[in-house]
Amino acid sequence: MADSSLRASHRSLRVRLPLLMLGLVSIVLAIFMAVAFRLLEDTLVNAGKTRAQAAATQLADMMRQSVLQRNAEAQRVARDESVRLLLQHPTDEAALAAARQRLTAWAASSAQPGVQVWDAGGTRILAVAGKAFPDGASGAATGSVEEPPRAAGVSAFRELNGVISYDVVADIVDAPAEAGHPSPPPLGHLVIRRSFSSVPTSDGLRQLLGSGAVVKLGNHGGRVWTDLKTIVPPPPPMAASGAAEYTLPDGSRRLGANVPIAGSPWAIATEFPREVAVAPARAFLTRALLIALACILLATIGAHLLSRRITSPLHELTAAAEAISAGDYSHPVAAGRGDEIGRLGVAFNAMLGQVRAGRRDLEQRVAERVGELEAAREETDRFFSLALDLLCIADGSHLKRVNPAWQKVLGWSPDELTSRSYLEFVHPEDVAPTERETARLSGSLPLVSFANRYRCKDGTYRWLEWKAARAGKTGLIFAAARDITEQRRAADSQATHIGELAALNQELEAFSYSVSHDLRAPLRHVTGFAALLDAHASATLDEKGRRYLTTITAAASRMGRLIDDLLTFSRMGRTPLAKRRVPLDDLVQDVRREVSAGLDEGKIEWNIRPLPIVEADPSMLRLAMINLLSNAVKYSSPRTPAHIEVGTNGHHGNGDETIFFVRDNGVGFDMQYAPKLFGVFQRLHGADEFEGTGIGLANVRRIIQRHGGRVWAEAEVDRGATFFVSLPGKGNQ
Amino acid sequence: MIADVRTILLAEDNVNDVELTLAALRENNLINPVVVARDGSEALDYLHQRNRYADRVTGNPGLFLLDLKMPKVDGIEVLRAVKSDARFRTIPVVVLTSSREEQDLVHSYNLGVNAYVVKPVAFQDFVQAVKLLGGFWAILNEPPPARVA
Repeated sequence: MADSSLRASHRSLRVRLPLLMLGLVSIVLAIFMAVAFRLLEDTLVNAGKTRAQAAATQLADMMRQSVLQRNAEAQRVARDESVRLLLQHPTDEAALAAARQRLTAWAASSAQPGVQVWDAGGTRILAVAGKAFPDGASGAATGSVEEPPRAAGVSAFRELNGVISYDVVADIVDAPAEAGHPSPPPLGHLVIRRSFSSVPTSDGLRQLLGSGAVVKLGNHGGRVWTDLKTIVPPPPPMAASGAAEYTLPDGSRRLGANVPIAGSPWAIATEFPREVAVAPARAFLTRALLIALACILLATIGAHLLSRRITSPLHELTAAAEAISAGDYSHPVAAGRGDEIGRLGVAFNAMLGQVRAGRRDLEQRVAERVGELEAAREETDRFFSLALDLLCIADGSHLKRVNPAWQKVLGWSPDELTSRSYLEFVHPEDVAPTERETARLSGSLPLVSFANRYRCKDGTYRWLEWKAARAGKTGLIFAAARDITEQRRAADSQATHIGELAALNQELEAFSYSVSHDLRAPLRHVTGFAALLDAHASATLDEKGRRYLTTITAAASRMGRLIDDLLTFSRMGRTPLAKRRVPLDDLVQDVRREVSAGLDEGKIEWNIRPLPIVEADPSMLRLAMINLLSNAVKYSSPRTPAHIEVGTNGHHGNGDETIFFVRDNGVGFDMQYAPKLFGVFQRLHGADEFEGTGIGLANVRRIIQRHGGRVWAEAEVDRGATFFVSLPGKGNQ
Repeated sequence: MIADVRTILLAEDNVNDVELTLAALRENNLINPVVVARDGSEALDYLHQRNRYADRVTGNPGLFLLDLKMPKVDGIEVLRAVKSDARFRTIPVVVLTSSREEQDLVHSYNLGVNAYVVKPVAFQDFVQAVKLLGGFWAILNEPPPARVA
């Protein structure tokens, strides 16, 4: 959290805004200062040039005055009497001496210049050595001095042996010129030669012009220049009376001006180092930089404060939003301001409230849903672990998850089961069918069921019946298996039992056959021979003997009926049922006719109601009805008239069975013997009372039971009996 | 004359039944000679005129009373042999049996038996049954002997 806010602070508005301001202010100030500096510098350079020009002009004027003075001085000396006389009398020694004396004196009073006097013909007449000509004679032999002066005025500078010198030439005339008359040609020329070192004003000039300033004097447009102290190179050529900026060979930049001096071949040049001229600009720049820095600092502080003011609420909002995204809803922002940011804060708080409520609601719902899912999963898991069947989830080759029933049934632990291919557990004979079923499952069928044998940990095999389904996209197989080993065993033993039963049946059939054949034969013989005896010896027998014969015959006949009934009973149990629709009405009428044959018709009142159509084996049902109706006839025979009723009874039917009854008003029976009623050889009446073998009702019960129905009786002694028969299925009228 | 009366062949193993049957025939005044075969093979010997019947008078019996349950060759087998042989197929065969078993009855009729009679226990009933049988097959089907008429 702290880390993220720190990281965010590098890019936050609070930092970026002041930096932006700082940058902007700096750029603006830099541009401003650069332009101002450049303008100022230009102005200063121009000013410097103007100043150099002004100084040069001033100096040139001063030098002009000075030149005029030199000329006037030379003219005054030339007008001296001695000099004129010398020229008027060049051979006069006295004149020469007088002139020399005069000139030497003058020279001594005037810083010792050299002085020469030339005649008009170009011959030097007199030379006085001065500082510039330490040896007047030799000096005459050297250089230009030998040449006669050409015109009055100052000459160009000459440089000789490191000394700069110049001449001032004045005409020597006979008499002063009169107004209105052309001046006469001069008698000769006076030359005053001075060395430049005698110019005394250089330091003062330099001070006047300022530090670094250089004043130069030299021949206008030519060589030989001096800075009034030593010989210097000439200044660069520049426009007459113009100022210029130039670079010296040593790389330093200068501002300078060149002004010719009127009345002479000379010029004066002034020169400043450029940096001296622009020094104020630099000073300005320095101050301006300081001011700019102060401005930037102020702007930065201001921007920081401003951004702080603006971004504080934003910061707060951001922090709150970050807290929300981290799940903390307990930090509403302060919303005291009336501006947009303040409204944003209010809106944010409102939104925060909604989000908090929504989130709480959502969390609650999620918690509920998770709870439900948890419960559902728990239920499923519980069923999974409780199931008696073997449940599993498998992929194409391995079991992925099994329930505890596996271990219980097969003995393998879940790890053992899931670590190997499930085919390894399948009985070798069942592997191929199992693979086939699995392939079918992954093919087209959604559900398969089959059975195979699984190996238990103890090496035995259990039969498992499977139902397996493939789960949609995952391709997983969900399967449930049931241990059907016991069922298989039971089915096997049942088959054995059925076989045994069939064999027993076979035996029973053989037995019945023998009984019907062999048991009846002796009886037949008894009755047959009793009849033969009767025919043969009845005349010789007394009454007693004949009665014995009759008894023998009757007993044998009864035995025969017993056997017949017993065989019928046996057959009823074995013969397959051939069911079809039997109209009970017709059947009962038919049977009634049969059982009442040979009886007094008026003795019995039959009441046969409409009866349904039932599903039954007609011959068997007929036999049952014969038994029931003949019983009714038999046991109601003491009544006059006998009532026999046959009908259906809706009260006992629940829709799935058809019930009908046979009721008589005969002797009935005691209900405590009712359970014995339908047993074989069970009789409730003596043979002397009512004839019977005791098999009839047993036969009825067997027949009805084989049809899936039941039979029961209700009776009271001397109040008649009712026999009910129920057959399955809904009877039709 | 006697030779004109058709012989009745009785196949029956039980001596009592033989005696009773003969008595019943007598009761009905049938004078046809009765040949008693004591089992199935003897009955077939008679029909085929072999073994002890090798030199009997040639001719098929007028009526063949056949008991089903006999030692050696039983009645069903005899019936099958008789009805599958063109020489004997026309002999009227009446099955006399104590059995009421349905399968015997079905079997017998399938093999082409002419009549099937369950021997009644009461002797008079038996006499009655034999009378009907003998009268029908042995007498009515043949011209009665002049003496009897």
